[in-house]
Amino acid sequence: MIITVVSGKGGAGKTSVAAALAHILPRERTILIDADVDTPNLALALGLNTPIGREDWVGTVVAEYVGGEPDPKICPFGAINEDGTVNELLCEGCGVCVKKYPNSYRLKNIKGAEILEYRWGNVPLITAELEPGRSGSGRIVTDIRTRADRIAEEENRDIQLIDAAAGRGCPVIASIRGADLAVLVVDNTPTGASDAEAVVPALKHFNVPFYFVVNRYDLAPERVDELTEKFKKAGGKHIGSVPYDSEILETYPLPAKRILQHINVEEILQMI
Amino acid sequence: MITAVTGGKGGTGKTSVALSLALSMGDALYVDADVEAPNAAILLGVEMKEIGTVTKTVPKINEDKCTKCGLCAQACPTAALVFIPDKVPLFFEENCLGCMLCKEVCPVGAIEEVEETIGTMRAGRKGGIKIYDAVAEPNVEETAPIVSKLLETALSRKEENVIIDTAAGIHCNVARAIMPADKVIIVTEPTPYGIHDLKKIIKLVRTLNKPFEIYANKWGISQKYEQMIEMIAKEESVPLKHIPYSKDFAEHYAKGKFTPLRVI
Repeated sequence: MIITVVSGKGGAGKTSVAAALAHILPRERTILIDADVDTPNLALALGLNTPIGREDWVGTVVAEYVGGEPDPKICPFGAINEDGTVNELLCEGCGVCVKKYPNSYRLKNIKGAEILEYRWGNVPLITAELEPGRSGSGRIVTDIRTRADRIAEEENRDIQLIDAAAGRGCPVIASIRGADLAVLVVDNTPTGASDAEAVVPALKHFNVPFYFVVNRYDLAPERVDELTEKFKKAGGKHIGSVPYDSEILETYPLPAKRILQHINVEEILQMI
Repeated sequence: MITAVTGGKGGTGKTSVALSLALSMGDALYVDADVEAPNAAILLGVEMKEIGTVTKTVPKINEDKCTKCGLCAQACPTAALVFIPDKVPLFFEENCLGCMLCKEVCPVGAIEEVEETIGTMRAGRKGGIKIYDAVAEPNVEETAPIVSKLLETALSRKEENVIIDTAAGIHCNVARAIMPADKVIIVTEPTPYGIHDLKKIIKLVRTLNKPFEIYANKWGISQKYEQMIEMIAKEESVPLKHIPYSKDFAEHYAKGKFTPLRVI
């Protein structure tokens, strides 16, 4: 059973909802994955500061200039500077330069992220921290999910809870793929609704059914019905509306009960 | 002067700060570089018009010319072309970077370039503010090329005041949106998550070698974390500005009525 928490918009409450849900899942069966590798905050929300394991992820491939005549024009991504050196943040690692100038360029693997493993009590939490500016977060997510699968198998854990990144690009797709259920957190704002809506086609594409939670519903109560209808029509099941509560952000670790009391968790527990 | 507004963590108020800044300038070009969740036009209630598409170059194999040698698949860095002996290689577009190395290595010239639409650029205007944004096609995963093209298009206008609103995170889309900037504003909030992500975005901005200021939003909700932000600003020797916490602002925002933020 894989449950992925998504929202489209950043700051809509994904991590808060994911951390709250972690409290209701049976601990001996669960593994947590923070797939927001840009800004992973799930460990923090659960009060964890120190990982029990760290490992470099060196899956990023970039070109390196080793000398010879510079030719910035050959790079399809504009990653070669005038002096022939490579702007690693623009390089896609395709190797066009190496193919054309095998004596001037070569490909190398560099650190793209650091993989971190925590334990929340007994529950494993796997995440990664992207090196600033790097691409490839989709591949990193796929990789940490493979690691999570391995741990899950070793420890006989059959429930995975994934906290996805903001947006709807590669890392989010990599978090949705293969999920049995998505929990869509919809911030009750015009932007929150629009960004959450943008995730729905991806959920449909991968045949992931979704439940949705409306966050900060009381900031504009008059909009809630319309919002709820919209996501019901899109195929979602409404399982809760959480009020604006600044204490949730200020209290550390996250006060899960303050969120859980507004979510019909039975709906999720029935699925597992 | 090009100012990029970024923040690491989502929901700290990047777009609200960026829009407030643009409104205070009167005349400004506003580039919403968060192509996976563009929000500036929604907040200002601006109707956006399509101004162009963003395409990706992908290979198309001429089956009559192909000799089924498999060299293209061998050269492909992302396994977007897969060779099965005696068959024309299969193409998986979602893996394709568009580098066209395949075309380069094809000994018989059986590969041509075709343009696939991956996004749409839009523009709109409210008063003196010109907004540029882009929307990725629903199933496009790799959105960085859309950010690059949008920036290239908008910045070619050579406007005097430019604001770039970046996506959340510290990934390549964010880096690309910061690269053209003369100055960066980092929007954070006094929460443990805000602090955690502030350190990460500072690392990115430092890597890109840009001067920056920190705008601490929702000021007044936690003295402890406010002190931590003050410490970080001091350590980094950068200016720190505050935006007082206001539930009214949040309510107005939720109701779709954007009011400019007060920066102190």
